[in-house]
Amino acid sequence: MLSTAPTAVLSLVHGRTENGLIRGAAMLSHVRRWIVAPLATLLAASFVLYTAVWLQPGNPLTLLLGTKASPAQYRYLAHKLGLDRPMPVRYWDWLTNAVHGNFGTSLVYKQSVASLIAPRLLTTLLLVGYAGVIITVLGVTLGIIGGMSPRAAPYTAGLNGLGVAIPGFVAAEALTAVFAVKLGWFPVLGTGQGLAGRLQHLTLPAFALAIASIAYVSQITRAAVSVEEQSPHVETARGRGLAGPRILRRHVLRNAAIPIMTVSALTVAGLLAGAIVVEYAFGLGGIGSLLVQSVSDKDSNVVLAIGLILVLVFVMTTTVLDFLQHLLDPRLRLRTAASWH
Amino acid sequence: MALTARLARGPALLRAGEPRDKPDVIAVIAGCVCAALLAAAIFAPLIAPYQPDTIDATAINQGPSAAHLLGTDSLGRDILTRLLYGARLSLLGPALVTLLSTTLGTAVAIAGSWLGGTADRIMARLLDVLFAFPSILFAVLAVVAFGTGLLAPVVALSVAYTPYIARVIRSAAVHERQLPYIEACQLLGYSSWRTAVNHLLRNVRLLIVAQATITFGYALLDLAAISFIGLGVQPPTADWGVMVSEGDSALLNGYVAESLAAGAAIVLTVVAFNVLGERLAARSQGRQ
Amino acid sequence: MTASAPGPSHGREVAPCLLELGGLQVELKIGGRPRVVVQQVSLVLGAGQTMGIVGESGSGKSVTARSIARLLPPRARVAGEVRFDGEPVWAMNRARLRRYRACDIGIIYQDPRAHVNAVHTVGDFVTEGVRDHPPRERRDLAISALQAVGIPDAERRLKQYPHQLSGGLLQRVMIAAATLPGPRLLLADEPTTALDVTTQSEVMAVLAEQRQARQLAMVFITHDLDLAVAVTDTIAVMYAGTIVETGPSASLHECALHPYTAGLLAARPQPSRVARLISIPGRPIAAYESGPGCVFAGRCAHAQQRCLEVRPEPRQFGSHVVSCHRAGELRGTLHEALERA
Repeated sequence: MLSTAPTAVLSLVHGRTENGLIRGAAMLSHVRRWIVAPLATLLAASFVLYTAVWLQPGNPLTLLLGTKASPAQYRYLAHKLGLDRPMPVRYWDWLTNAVHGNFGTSLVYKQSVASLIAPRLLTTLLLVGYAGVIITVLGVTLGIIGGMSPRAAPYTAGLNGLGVAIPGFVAAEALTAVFAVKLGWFPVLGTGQGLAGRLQHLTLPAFALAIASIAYVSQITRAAVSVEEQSPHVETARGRGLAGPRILRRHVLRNAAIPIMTVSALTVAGLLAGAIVVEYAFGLGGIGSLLVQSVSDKDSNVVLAIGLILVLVFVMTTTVLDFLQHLLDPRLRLRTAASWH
Repeated sequence: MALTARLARGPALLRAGEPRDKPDVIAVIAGCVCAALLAAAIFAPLIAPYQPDTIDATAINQGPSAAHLLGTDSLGRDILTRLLYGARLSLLGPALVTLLSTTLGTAVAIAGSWLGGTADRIMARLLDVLFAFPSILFAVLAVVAFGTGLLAPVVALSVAYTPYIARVIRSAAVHERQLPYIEACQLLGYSSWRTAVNHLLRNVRLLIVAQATITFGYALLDLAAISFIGLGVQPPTADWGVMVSEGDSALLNGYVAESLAAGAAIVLTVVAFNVLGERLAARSQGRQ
Repeated sequence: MTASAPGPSHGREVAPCLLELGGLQVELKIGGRPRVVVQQVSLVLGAGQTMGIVGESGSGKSVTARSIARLLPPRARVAGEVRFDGEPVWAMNRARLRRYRACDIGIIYQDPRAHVNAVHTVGDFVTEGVRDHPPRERRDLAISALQAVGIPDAERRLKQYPHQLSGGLLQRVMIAAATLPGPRLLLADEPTTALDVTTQSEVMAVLAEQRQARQLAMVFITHDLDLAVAVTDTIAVMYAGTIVETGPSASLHECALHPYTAGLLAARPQPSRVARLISIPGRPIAAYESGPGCVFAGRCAHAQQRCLEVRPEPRQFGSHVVSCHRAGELRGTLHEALERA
């Protein structure tokens, strides 16, 4: 599998296929699909984001000046902040600044949004990464066990069905009740110091975030593995006397990898959204809890910045995944888009 | 002529002679649980032992007892009562989301698969933009724009789920559209509307119902989460998400009843609806 | 009922027995319950000889073929014997079984698209069966194998993926891969059914060539009686999981002794005759649907009371072995009836 990947990339870059005509058309559609379309989507999404914040009731001016200032003072500040320009102009201004990393100033904390977000982003990424590892390891393993062993299957299926129904905040409360309050193995709140301290503080949140996704990934893995295990080409491999582990690796998992990978990566991307709730529940200093706080505080620039980050990650993940899928499955490479994704 | 007319009624008619399938026990159980939950919500005032807002300072954070089957919360309110009354809002929200998103999603999917070409591509691009937002973020944005409460998140989630539903229905619709009986309808001179609604739609309806049931579960999870972080239903109104949040401080002191009871209610409901939806989806696939 | 390949007509010597099936019975889980799909199947095949197994869908022919390779689902229950070169296949341990499948037998399946893993290259597929050779040798072996089955431009084909080859080419690749390790027995399960007619004859020619060149024995499964007659030395006709008649191919074609065989022969459309197609009334049944008597009794025009109650034992009639109570009486008349029609 790994040996074909570089060749595949090369063939895409140099367009090395038999027919020169096909090569040209394929390259154009590839560029359109993986560069132009996501950018267009991001642009439109950023506009939706800005519109939502722009519609926000309440006046940032009163937030800054209080309610007792004179009309002239309001007008002056409005002009200074550029709030009297038409919305599309303000949107464009914000976007161009954002692309350069300038997200403006927080109305509440009075510091640059970027400096506010940076340390929190680290915490969130640690949380999501931690949860991602748990999900991949546990989810895929459980799924393979369920898929290859018909006896284990009903139990894993039942656990899965239960797991997907447990949202992050319910898991958070339950885990806290058992492991933090009752057993005292983990702290209840806070982010912690140093790597070890942070990991300890992040363990319960990571598991809370991961539970539903473990179940989901496990479900998909089990289905994919069991389908491949019964497929005709695996029969061919068995009929040729290939060894069990080789069959598992090269024929079952290799073929099941495509859907499993897609789902795992999409799930991890979705974790970012789930992190919003889990960070709030555990009082973690990440961008999720900052988002919730800023919504209540009506701190527009922060909301815009975090919203943009979330959308960016989401779109990028789906695009990269789509690309990898094409790389791994030779059948998709030259196929025209007949369906929506 | 008669044969074409018969064919126009689609696969459903051709299956009329087949033996009936065995009833699916698990689906029936799930269906009963769903019905029971809905009934509990509707008849809450009749079933609940107390009022949801009655504060009793003498009975704070009590465990389950004869007087209070599930105990009391930090304000002395009966948890069971609040669960039952909370079911009303906690189930109404997802119901609205399901209704709206299923209608929108199906309309977009059928229109897209029917019209094809440019209209289809434009719809696809629009839905792409929606796909860029995690559903919770969309709900948060709606709250930013329109304030807290149930309405904004409900509308936002309906819009956010539409592309997912549309995608599933669309692939089924595209498959159906190519079947000969659709052409038979057109040959018979049926209008596009009639063919699409009476025939195409009818044959994917089981899939639509299955999808709707699963959507209900997701909507419940998302709406409860929004209420949990304080952007949805506001305390002191009884709502499962709110209850999980309100029960947090009690939980930290060892009184887990409110938080975990509400959490269990959420999980139970989602499991029941998911199981039902999956069984229905499996059936609709079996028919295809 | 025993089927055997005819020995040379002048001598008493019998070709050494490469494959022997004795009283094979297979139960598979169907609809949740174990059902008999193959009952009392016995046959003998010598080295270098071909036997055709002919039957309609559900006759058990594919299951019989898979029993020879021990490729049944894990919950299948098997009774009776399968011997390869005197060695019981179903008693082999895992290592021996793998060697058996890898080196002693080769299998060609009906649908090459489903049976060849689409995510690996053609070269990978072909060389996977000869992994005990050093890598450099493997590539050369693969090239010569592809050339031997008449695939031009073999070097280029090695790097292609299965979906880039036509059905006929892919089937040739499967033949190449199956014969490359040097097996002594080929199991061909309807190798040309999924192909169009012109491709069919090409692939059959390739198969015949390979067989000749390597002196391979072959078990050829098909529902096409004419094809079997053209390609094999002996034919065993299966119905409802049991063999109803065996005989030399040419002889079976001229003079069938079992009513079912005669019915199959009569049911073939003849381009020279413009007449209503004759068909056997009723539908083919599976082994578990048959009653205590002859499996064909329910549809046989010549059935008597005894046929419904007592299962006929296989008996020798000249060069044929037939399971029919009335074979002696009906002998000769079955074909008259056909000619009259």
